[in-house]
Amino acid sequence: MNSLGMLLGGFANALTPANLLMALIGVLIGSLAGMIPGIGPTPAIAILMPFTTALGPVQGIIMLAGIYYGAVYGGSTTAILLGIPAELQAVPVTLDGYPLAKQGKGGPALGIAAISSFVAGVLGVLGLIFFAPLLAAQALKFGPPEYFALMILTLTVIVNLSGASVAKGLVMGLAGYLVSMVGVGPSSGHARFTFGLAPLSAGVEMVSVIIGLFAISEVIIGMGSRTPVTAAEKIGSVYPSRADLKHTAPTMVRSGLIGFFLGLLPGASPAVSAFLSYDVEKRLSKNPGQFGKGELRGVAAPEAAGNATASSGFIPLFTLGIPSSPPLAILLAGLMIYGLQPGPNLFQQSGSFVWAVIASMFIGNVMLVVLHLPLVGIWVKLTQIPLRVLKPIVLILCVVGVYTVRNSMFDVLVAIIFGVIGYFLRKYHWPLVPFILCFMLGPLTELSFVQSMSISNGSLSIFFTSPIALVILILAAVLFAVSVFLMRRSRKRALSLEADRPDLPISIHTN
Amino acid sequence: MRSKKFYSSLAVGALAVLALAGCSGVANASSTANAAPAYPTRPIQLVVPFAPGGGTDLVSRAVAAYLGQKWGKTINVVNKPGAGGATGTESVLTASPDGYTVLADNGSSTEALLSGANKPPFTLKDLNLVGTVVNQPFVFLVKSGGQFKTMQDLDAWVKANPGQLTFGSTGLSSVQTYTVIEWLQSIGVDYSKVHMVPNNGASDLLPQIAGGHVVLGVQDVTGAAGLVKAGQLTPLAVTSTTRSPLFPNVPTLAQSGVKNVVSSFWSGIALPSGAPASVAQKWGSAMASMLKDPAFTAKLKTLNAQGQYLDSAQFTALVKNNLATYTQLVKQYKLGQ
Repeated sequence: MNSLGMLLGGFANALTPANLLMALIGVLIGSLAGMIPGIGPTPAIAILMPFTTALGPVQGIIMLAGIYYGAVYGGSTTAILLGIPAELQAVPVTLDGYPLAKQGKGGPALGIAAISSFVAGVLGVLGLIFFAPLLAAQALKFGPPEYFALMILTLTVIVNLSGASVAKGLVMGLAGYLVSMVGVGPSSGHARFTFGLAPLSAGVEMVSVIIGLFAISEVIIGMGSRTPVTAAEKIGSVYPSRADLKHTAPTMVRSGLIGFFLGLLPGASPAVSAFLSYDVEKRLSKNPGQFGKGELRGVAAPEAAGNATASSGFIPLFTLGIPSSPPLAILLAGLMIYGLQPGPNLFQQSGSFVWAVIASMFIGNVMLVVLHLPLVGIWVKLTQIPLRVLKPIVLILCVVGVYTVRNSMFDVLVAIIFGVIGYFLRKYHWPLVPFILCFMLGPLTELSFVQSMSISNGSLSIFFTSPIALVILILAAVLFAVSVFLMRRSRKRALSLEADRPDLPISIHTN
Repeated sequence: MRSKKFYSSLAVGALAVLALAGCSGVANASSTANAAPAYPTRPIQLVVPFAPGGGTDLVSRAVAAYLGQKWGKTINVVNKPGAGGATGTESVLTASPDGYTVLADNGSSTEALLSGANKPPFTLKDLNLVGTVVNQPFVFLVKSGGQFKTMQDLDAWVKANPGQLTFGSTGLSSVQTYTVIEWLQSIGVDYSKVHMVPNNGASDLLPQIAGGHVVLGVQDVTGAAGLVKAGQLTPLAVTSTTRSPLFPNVPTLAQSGVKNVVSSFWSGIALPSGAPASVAQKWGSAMASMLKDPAFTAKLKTLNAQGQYLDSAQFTALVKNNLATYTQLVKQYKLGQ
């Protein structure tokens, strides 16, 4: 209960007008940065950190945390309204968010996204307050074999995100894995698949691939279509209905918990938990066919999971000093510049400061909701901009965003190439999500496998002697079998449905 | 209708080209060739060949803030990660050597890359090593509460069980691996019997040591500080000739009975070798006084970094010396070949 008293003290510290203003500025800047493809939280924090050092410690950290939260959240706006995931984490949000926007339900989708973020963010902060040291010690039990098992579990998501054909999904997944191998490999240091091109030895940049496949291909489709895809006429109410809230509430809690626990593991990014929770919701749903066509739960799940991961990432950061993602690494530097030393003694040593920071996370989350719900109306106006105006702007933002990630012109070229590839893949109904998923998981899967083999001296038994790894692997096998079984059944049903009602479309391509 | 579509496509294309052009880096307006032209007269690009958030990145940002204020011109930190630092280094070397594109260098992007089996597209001769900002030891780290309390414990165990030693490193040609090899040589253990566990850097390595998945980690003091202070990792020895002010209670390798193993992690500033000498001098003297300024050293301390200024001659000698030793090790142990 001491924690609670300290937290109240933190609130008193964080709720001064000047501090609230800092939180507001931070959240606004973060949201804008998050909406622009490729910018995201990492560069936003890195660029703005020098400016915040001019402020006092508490104000500086409040602003930085605001930028972080804002950027993690802001990505969903473009994902839902324009179908452009500004970051990897936003890819699953587009799957249902964009169809919803096309159906004129962009308002409720954004509302649900904001509320999910809030619920999960608060959940994460609560966990941080009450369980931080306890959980951090548990996370250390995850070593290379356990991470490898976790990656395998995440890979089973492919089956569920492949659309109509598992075979197509697997082909795309393997292709994604292949592309992820480009560059200098772990351990040996040898360059692979670089074809003698020097820039390729640094690997293919994730953001270039996402922007290319999802955003630039979208622009190309827009150019090719004779009848312009009309943007949503109306957005519907910004505030989701009570029924919508009731429908998505369990999803928010489930996904928030998934995201929270994954966030404890350094290396499991918000993107991993966003994909996993989307998959879990689809499996649990009574109408899995609705996913990919505009299911609100499909928006709530990745949004809640991603934000919970973002919050619980502070637990290993505060208690062990391990940043689980690049933006947190920069935030850690910010904390250290203000003289805060992460570790179990952090709460004793720098008590009032830490609690002020934690209180500011609450405030940041509240501000996001307060800011975004009324602003949704303005964001949604984006979709009413004529496409011939909007598309060039999107293209420019894409190019600038991709360039900014590594300050590399080569990455821009890669994005354009993937844009063309994405156009043809979409045209011929090859699912993009398995490709992105494997591309994302490839390096960590390979590294944790190589590490495990190195530790076990080349014996595969390491995956079965670790109880945690074994349990996860069994879970993965069961999920895989169940998914394939369910998929066959639902396909049969869909086919029989088509026989009865030939007018019904059965395109369940999860593009 | 058709022409409308054509024009809109044309506009899209034109705008895209415009956006691309905007990205193509700084203008190459070079200063006139006076005896000692004023410098800097415009913003400087400090290229960090690593992702944001790492030790060298944070130190570089501190340098950029300090010198930018001193000179009254912005120093922009630009991260160009990739290929172990080769991508960013190459981008500085191909830019105009006018002194407005500067490289933040460290041991990984020079000694490790140049000694390894896969040579980068540049050599040490292409770089003018201006000075160091940080020069600090590595720390031998093991899990806290385990069987090793001192370096002697670890030495004895490794001699008895070489096949059970796992150590984490970013790759075969890394200064960490070289340090481990030199240590094993010194205590008479066959390197081919131990196992290297490759990793992505400190944030990957340290939890693996703390969790007991990997036995030994060799990490510079900046990276090690967090988990050591958190009580999860035990530092056994530092690789410098004197103790580190950041870990005054930790003995050196020599004090622990391991002779002739010295290595360090440095980060510093380099220019393309074609850059004007006056620019290099200006950076060198500014960095020398910067490291005497208590405000700057206090900032380094908050980053858990150990500041030390080595001038161009000392810096170059250090790197040449290390490179010769490491190249010899790579040859002897056929690392990565």
